[in-house]
Amino acid sequence: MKGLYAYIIRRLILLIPVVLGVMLITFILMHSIPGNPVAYLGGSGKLPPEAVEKLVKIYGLDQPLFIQFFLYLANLFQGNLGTSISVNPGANITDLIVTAFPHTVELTIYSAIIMILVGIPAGVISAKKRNSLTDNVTRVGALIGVSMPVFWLGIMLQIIFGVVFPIFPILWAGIHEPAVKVTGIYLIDGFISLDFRTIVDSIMHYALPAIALGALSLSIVTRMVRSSMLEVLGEDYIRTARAKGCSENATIYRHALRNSLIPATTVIGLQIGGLLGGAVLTETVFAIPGIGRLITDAIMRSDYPLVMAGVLFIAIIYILSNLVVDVLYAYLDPRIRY
Amino acid sequence: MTVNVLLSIRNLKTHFFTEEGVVQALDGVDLEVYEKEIIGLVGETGSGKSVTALSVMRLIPQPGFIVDGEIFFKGKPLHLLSEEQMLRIRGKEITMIFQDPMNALNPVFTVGNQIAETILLHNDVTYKEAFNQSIELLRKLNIPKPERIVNSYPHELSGGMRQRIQIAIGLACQPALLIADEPTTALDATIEVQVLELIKKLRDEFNTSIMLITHDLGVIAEMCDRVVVMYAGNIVEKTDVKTIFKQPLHPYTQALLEAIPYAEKKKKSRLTTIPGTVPNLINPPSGCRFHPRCKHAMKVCKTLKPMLLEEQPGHFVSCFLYSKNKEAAESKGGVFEPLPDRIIY
Ligand SMILES: Nc1ncnc2c1ncn2[C@@H]1O[C@H](COP(=O)(O)OP(=O)(O)OP(=O)(O)O)[C@@H](O)[C@H]1O
Ligand code: SF4
Ligand SMILES: [Mg+2]
Repeated sequence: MKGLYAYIIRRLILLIPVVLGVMLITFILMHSIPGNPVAYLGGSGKLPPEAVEKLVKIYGLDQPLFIQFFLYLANLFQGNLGTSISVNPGANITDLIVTAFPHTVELTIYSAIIMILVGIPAGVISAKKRNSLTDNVTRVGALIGVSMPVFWLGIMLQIIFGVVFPIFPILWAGIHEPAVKVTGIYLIDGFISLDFRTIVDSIMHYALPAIALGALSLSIVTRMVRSSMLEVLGEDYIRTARAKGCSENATIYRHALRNSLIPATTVIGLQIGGLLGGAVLTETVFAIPGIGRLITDAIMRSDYPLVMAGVLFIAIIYILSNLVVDVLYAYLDPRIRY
Repeated sequence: MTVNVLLSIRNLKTHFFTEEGVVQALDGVDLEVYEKEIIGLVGETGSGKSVTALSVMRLIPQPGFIVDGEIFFKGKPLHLLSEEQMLRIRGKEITMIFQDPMNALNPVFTVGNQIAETILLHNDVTYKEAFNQSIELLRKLNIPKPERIVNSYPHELSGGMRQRIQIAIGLACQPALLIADEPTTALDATIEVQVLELIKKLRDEFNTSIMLITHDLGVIAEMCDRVVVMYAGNIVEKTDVKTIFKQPLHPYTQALLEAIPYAEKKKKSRLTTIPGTVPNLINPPSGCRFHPRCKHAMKVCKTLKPMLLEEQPGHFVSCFLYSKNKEAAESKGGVFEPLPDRIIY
């Protein structure tokens, strides 16, 4: 266990060079594509040239690139992510991220629930009843799941369950605001303020986007669990379990499941890490103001500081979720020690 | 000593229905295991030793099925029991341990947990009691520091220790029959001796009958009361251990024994020293399955199948060289002339 803590700390220290690298690459990439954030200001009417010049000075855009970079880093280490230039002029970037992230987390929660609660059992049953009708249906379903474009599935769901059978709202907007807002995640705030309407609203509004987004991860997890389950079922210790007198269910759920979840953990963890980084297409189709949307807007409008902050944020989230996966791995598999 | 039959296998045929064709892995196996005896199963690789054992356990892997024959254990017809009834026999009355000590234990549970599981499956005890019983069991088996061992994971133990743990799992419910499928093949010589001694102790102290599957005639000589020699899904010879070494009758057994002096030097005999190859069991040789490799093969060996008949009291052999099979074949018009056109090595 002591080794595990040391390992976690080592991994956290490793974050620093990774973050610097990510920042540098993003910075270079952002400045190698044409576009000037100030050009997006002023709405339909163009800003007068003097104003543009003044703004360019304020944001330091006239400085040499490496100075801009070091200025940015200096601010960053003081905990200052800067202000948005063109997406939401003048707004504090930390505030923008803190507002957007809970929506992404909420979408991730629902998608992860679908992925885990449907994907794992589907994979297990599929492996258990190998080559049966159930197995074949599951496999075809998973194949469709991985081949369907997310935005297409999202739009289809909107048409079928939002328009033809108007069960679910098409767009995200319109969730009842709970009395207490602690996390910004409607589902959780709903429970905290015991606001039944918020909870139901949250579920209804996130159902379609979660299905659209979760379909891919769900299919990946199902396939993964199925194949690792099949592999584990061929292991010698499964035969030992049977020779002890374990029933088919005890063999599968006690002896095989945990072993087959070891490789599946990686996939699930990385999928969740990916989901937390924002699902650009899903957030766009369903108009969810999450982190993915925020960063795409920033890229479209060359909002350098916002892009930098967003990418940094996603990189850290991704690295942390990797770390969680590794820790979980060590917990599931006693052979792994750090 | 009264000899009571514990397990009796009659005309057992287990086939695998693969895509390439039907693998006739067992082609009418007849054998019995008496109470408190150690019976050895020898034969080259692919001769059907493991399939025989797995058939008794009713754990034949897909796509294998028992297509004919009977297995009686304490008078119960195992071949007719439902899966539920088998669950109460496996691990409790008959247990099996396997060759590979690396993989035979589940890597994610402690060994104490895995021993306790067997106890828990077949006895009305709490987990705590079962866990304490497993410590006791390890102590009885003279395993050092049992309190420490039970909390270890399999990967933390040596191969020999893992094999002892397998034996402990097998023994947890004091079964009447323990099937050990090459329990020491993967171990080095000194550990092998210790594990074999442990197995012998089971018979002496717990009165367990043991079916010991091995490639190693040295192990047979050391451990067994009786021996069954298998070749390509058939039993070719069956007798007590003294007779098999002093007076082997079947040409295959003779060839195996001739291969020994050479093998002794190489420490572990793998029984690969007999000329020719093990036949394909999808299209097995007609008549006596050994005839393509037999020095004494006759025309009759290609046309008729010898039966396992009692040539001398307690000594069964399946070969046309001996009187019982000879008589039977003569009445069916078998021709006793050397087989022409054979590749002699
Ligand atoms: N799952 C399977 N599918 C198809 N054929 C099989 C299967 N398992 C065993 N067989 C066949 O059954 C025959 C007997 O195999 P078995 O494992 O009993 O041999 P063995 O005597 O135990 O050999 P070894 O000494 O190598 O363990 C072999 O010809 C093998 O090809
Ligand atoms: S029956 Fe014929 S072929 Fe078979 S072992 Fe005897 S002599 Fe050889
Ligand atoms: Mg075998």
